[in-house]
Amino acid sequence: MIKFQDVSFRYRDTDAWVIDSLNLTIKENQKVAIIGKNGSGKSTIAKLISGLLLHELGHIYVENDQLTPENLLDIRKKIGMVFQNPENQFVGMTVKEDIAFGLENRGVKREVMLEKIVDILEQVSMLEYIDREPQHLSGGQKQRIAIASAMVLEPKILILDEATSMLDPVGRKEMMSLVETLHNRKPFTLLMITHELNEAILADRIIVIEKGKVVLDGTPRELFTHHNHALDELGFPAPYTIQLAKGLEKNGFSLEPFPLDQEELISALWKLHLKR
Amino acid sequence: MEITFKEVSYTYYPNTPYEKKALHNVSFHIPSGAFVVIVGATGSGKSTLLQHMNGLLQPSSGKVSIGDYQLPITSKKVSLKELRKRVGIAFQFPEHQLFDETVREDILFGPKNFGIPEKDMEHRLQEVIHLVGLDEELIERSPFELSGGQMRKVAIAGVLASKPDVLVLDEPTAGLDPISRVEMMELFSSLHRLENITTILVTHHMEDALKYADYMIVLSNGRIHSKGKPVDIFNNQDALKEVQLLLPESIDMFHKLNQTFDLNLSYRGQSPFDLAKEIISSLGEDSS
Ligand SMILES: Nc1ncnc2c1ncn2[C@@H]1O[C@H](COP(=O)(O)OP(=O)(O)OP(=O)(O)O)[C@@H](O)[C@H]1O
Ligand SMILES: Nc1ncnc2c1ncn2[C@@H]1O[C@H](COP(=O)(O)OP(=O)(O)O)[C@@H](O)[C@H]1O
Ligand SMILES: [Mg+2]
Ligand SMILES: [Mg+2]
Repeated sequence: MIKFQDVSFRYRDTDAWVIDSLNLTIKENQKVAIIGKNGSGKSTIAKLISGLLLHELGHIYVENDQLTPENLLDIRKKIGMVFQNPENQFVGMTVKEDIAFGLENRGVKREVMLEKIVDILEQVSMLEYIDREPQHLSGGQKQRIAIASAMVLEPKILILDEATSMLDPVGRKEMMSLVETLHNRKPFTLLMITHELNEAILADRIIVIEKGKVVLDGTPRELFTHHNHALDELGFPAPYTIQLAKGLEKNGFSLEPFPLDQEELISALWKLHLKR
Repeated sequence: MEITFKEVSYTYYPNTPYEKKALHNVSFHIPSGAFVVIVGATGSGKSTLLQHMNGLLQPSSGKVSIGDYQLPITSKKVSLKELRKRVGIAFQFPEHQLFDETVREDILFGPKNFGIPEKDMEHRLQEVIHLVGLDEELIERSPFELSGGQMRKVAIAGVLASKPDVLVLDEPTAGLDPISRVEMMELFSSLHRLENITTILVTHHMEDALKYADYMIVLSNGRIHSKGKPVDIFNNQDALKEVQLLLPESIDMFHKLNQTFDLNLSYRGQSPFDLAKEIISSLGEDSS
């Protein structure tokens, strides 16, 4: 559970609020996508939750504990975070050390550590890089390692800040389905910040941030139905498939349920086709 | 400027335990004024390849020529300054490019360095921040006190400020919000069309590759897997899967519709709305 109660934050006393009386509750084990324009405050929200930045006004609760400077280290242990720039989180000289670092911090025993590291690297297809320097990997490889480092900790809360932005299309799908698999196996609260609406659709809930406030909040199905133009108006045009579905509806084809991806669209069309 | 790679190989940290061969005998030719999109899986060598285009990396073997420049440079007399003025490169991580105290200084570093008259500076600054859609309020800030997408815009503005003849762009839309991404791609496209700028761009957005590339190069494990016009590249779906790439969402939809309903829709870049009409009329015909 994460709760923001009238939270405000700015980077400097003289600046305008970057996070502006933000109210937001995220239920335990919910999968939430956060979208918003560049500079709207998404990464700042992520850093406030993990106590990397301290809010100036209001209250933040993480798993029922109010976040304060005193308990911030304890709270941080519940959170796994992948930064927008993965380079900002590497601490080890090698990939192995880098992943071990977080595990050590959380008191994982040495005997099981290597096993966990090997296992997670296999899952992100990076095992052959175990002894390489993280800084000398390609951009997408750095992102895979950053994802592995966060997920290996099995955190109660996983925050992915544009964590797949430099992955190839297949790699991006693989990472999303890995998150999905782990979530099914052992649920956690997922917050993913993304500019890809096709990725946001995979969440239970989509939140749009503008100037440090929530301006839209709903399930993908609510936000993407044919009569809802709110996302479009905020600068988030629907993915191709959904635009096509809207086009079909406008021309008198009523698709049930309103499709959010290719498979759903094909099967809704198929049903109509059979009826004719 | 035209760019030619001839049997280029590149090895990071040769003869050490970290040795990594990132490019193997890569050859291609990019004519002056082309818009080339390079795609490939994570780690396939895209960034390594791009960094040869302004001499940041020099081939371990083989030859690169960029206009009149030849790499590897063997003589100490040849300076890379002129090459770097003419070939602007935007790195995959904008943070690697930013260094100055303020956004203003950072963007104007190139123009200053390449000797643009002082009186033209302010105009140049205004021009490029508007092109990339950077909020004017940010120009006196430190470039490191910005959001990821804002840093991206500053880095690209800095490259454009030197008015290069060749633009080399490494995943320049990663981190941009959807509208900024479209605007940025339109900007590159219009610079290419109106000012005949040779453009080499890496992206993971197949939709953008399809829309903007005259020509595509597909890299796989440091080798050229295929090259050609986007329509031809995307016609070979199986080959794409091999290299971790997928079809653009639009073309993929055409294939699936044709397969499932036995239709003959052909992709001509039509909007989803127009496609909807086509589907309706062909499904209608079918059932009558
Ligand atoms: N270290 C910093 N110092 C001062 N201002 C900052 C700092 N980091 C971010 N900001 C400002 O705070 C605002 C919100 O930034 P934030 O990084 O949260 O945006 P974001 O929504 O993550 O954007 P993006 O999509 O570009 O990553 C922006 O206006 C940005 O310029
Ligand atoms: N600075 C470096 N030192 C050592 N190896 C590197 C370095 N940069 C990239 N590599 C390796 O070279 C290969 C190609 O990397 P890169 O060109 O960055 O790939 P791409 O841009 O296609 O993702 C990868 O296997 C990567 O790990
Ligand atoms: Mg951000
Ligand atoms: Mg790269």
